[in-house]
Amino acid sequence: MRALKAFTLGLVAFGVIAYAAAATIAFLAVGGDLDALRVGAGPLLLVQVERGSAGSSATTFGPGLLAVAVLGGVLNAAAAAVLGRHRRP
Amino acid sequence: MIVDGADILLLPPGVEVRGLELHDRVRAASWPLNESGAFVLGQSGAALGEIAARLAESHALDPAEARRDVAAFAEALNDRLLLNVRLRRRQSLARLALRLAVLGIAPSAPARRLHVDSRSGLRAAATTARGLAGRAGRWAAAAGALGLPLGAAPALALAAGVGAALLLHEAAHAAALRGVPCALVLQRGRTAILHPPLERRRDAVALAGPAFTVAVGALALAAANVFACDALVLTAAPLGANALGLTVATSDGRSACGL
Repeated sequence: MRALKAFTLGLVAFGVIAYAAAATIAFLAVGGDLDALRVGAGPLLLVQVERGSAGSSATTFGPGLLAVAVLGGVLNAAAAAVLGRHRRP
Repeated sequence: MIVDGADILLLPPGVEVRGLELHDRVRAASWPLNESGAFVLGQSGAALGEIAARLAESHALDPAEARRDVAAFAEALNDRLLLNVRLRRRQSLARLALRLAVLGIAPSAPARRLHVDSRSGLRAAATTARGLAGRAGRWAAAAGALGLPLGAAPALALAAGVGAALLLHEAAHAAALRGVPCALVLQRGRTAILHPPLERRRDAVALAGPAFTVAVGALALAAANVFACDALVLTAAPLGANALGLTVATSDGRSACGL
């Protein structure tokens, strides 16, 4: 039960933080007059900003956000298991 | 901690002297006092120098020694959140702190324990926000100064996010503690809500702070999209960063997981 709770909380936490970070990066990229920006690893795109011809810009959030969230959930559950074992008398 | 003879010693709300005992209603705990300790705490509201002079007179002590003892006693109790020290000479102490900083010594301001009216969730949130207003304002100003290179609107948005994140987080914890005696603690850089060990609602209290702040951050992000106001992303970011409080890296997250 504790593992499931820790996984869920970690999933939500890392998902939110990754999304907030990606949105901030996109905001800074648009303000910084970059022509294009891609943040991610291989097919796991976090965020991509593309500038159109008329000065408009398009921001795309990718599946990397989900991967970060799942990884965060797994890490949080693992850390909770380790801490729980150390605290057991 | 730097204390001066002019500084006022005050028992915080919820802490009282009962004979030769110091009782903390919030922690539901008591500590034994000797006669001198009870005498010093019985003078709550007076300046440290005055209390030391009265102690020296009534107990036939050397005045300098009495002052050192009272200062050490005040420091020890303040560190345990059982005594507030109201600084009277903030400017001269700030100058002294600057001089010590050059030598690599960083003196800390006394811890402050403030009243939280927990008769209802709304009252608890309001009294917590009032107690935190000064610190939240300073954090917001520092964040705004950092954001100034991005422009006035982004700097304001970032400042609002940082200030609101601190206020909402602690106010939500306090609101979740309705009906439970609690106090707001400002100790060095740490902000916390002091409360007795909880049998029930432990998870809800721990999760209330980060969860509510993140929810407000999500609303700010939604508002950024609906009103096409990109700068609001910088308000949402510090609010969203509170999600770290859901993980076992923080005490809130560990409490929520029963650790």
